[in-house]
Amino acid sequence: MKILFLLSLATIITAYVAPFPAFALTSFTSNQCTTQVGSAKLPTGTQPGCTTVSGGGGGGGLPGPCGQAPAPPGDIRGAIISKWGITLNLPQSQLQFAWEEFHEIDCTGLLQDLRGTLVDSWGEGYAQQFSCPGKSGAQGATDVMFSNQWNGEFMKAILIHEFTHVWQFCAPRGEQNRLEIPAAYSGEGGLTTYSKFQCPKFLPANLFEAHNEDHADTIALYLNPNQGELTCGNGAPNPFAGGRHPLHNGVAQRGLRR
Amino acid sequence: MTNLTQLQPRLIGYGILILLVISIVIFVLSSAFAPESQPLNNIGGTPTPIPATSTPAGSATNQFTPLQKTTIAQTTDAQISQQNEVLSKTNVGDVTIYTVSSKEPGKTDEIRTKNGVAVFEKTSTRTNAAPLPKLATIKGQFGNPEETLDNIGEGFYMSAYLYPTKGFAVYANNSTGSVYEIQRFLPMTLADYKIQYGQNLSPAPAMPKEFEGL
Repeated sequence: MKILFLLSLATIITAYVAPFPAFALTSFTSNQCTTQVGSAKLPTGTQPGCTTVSGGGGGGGLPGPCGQAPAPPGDIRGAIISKWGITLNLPQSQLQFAWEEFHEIDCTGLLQDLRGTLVDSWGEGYAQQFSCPGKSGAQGATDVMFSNQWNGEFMKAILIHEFTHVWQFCAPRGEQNRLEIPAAYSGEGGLTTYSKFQCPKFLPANLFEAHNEDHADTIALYLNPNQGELTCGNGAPNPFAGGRHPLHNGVAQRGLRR
Repeated sequence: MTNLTQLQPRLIGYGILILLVISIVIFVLSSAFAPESQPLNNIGGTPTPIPATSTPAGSATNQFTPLQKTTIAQTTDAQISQQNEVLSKTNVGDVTIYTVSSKEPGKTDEIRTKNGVAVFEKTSTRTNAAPLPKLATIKGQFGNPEETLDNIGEGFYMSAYLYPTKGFAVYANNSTGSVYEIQRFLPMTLADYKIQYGQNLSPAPAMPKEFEGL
């Protein structure tokens, strides 16, 4: 009888809970593994190199969700073109960091959406997007001009920040993901000092641009958990560390599912 | 003790019965008060149209998006003013310009009236409610635009696709093919469109310089 009672109770509870998605456990599709970065769950592929790690913003853990890079080949630029179809005309030291980064985020699908992107180098202290892959802009076929002054995790995160701009303006999946940012921005404020204030650009900030920068920082810092804030927030810890900014985290999770 | 043992199955039975009754009551109440699910339309957004009856002759302007609020040449000033989405109203000559709320965060839409009826409406379609409308769909329905202008509006990725003699223009991302804005107006020549609404055709500004000063 007790069993009957418990079964009835379970049935009733199930009947109540099942119709409400909020009670449902979040799950990823079967071809994904889950990677823990700080407290942010990252859906990643199950291909070789997809690992589960833990780490906090600004230190410890693997530097990206998908695994470590193999030793770089002699021709890194050519190997990146061959594998991802992205042309990086950057100094050799930056190519090595890009090689690492590309392997660390390969399972997210972001790079596959950026096929055809052309990045050139300049001596300016900033980066700027000029066009979408296959289009011609103010710098001809060059989609992004990238400063030759940056290195390390910082350079890797800024590269992904720029790639996210290409993604949000030029790729349908990124465009759709960018549309989720206003709700996160409204709920949590800007993810970073940069996306809050757009410093060091001139204020007042334009909300549309703030959302663009917020999206770029969201993806860049989600995929580079060992990097803290960039630009005018430089020195602050990674905004996802310690489980902060769950709404922004959700935007990145949904956008980077394959 | 014996009595209690005999009563236990009955008590459990009553308990199950009460729980079932409660569950049925809650289910019925939640069904009665739950919001009706609305089917997704083809281009998204929450429809808030002002009632209209027909499409002006020669115009193909009233079926693009449920986000639009007027029927060109029909919707009146009075109908527009009744909408709580009107943010401001300005008179420029014989044209009244209403700034109205947009479903796109950070943007506003616009309605213009002349002689008491709507002659122009600019609607942002970039919301997160559903997939964005596609330029290919519009081209499939109306053919190629009379003129295409690249590098227009907010960035290099935007192009204007002008169908002025059909009474509309579309601003879309030229890489993704997604429509970001639809303008509807009284059909006119291309030259007249540029004169009347050409302020929307200014070249896109350069994209922000990132991380300047580091």
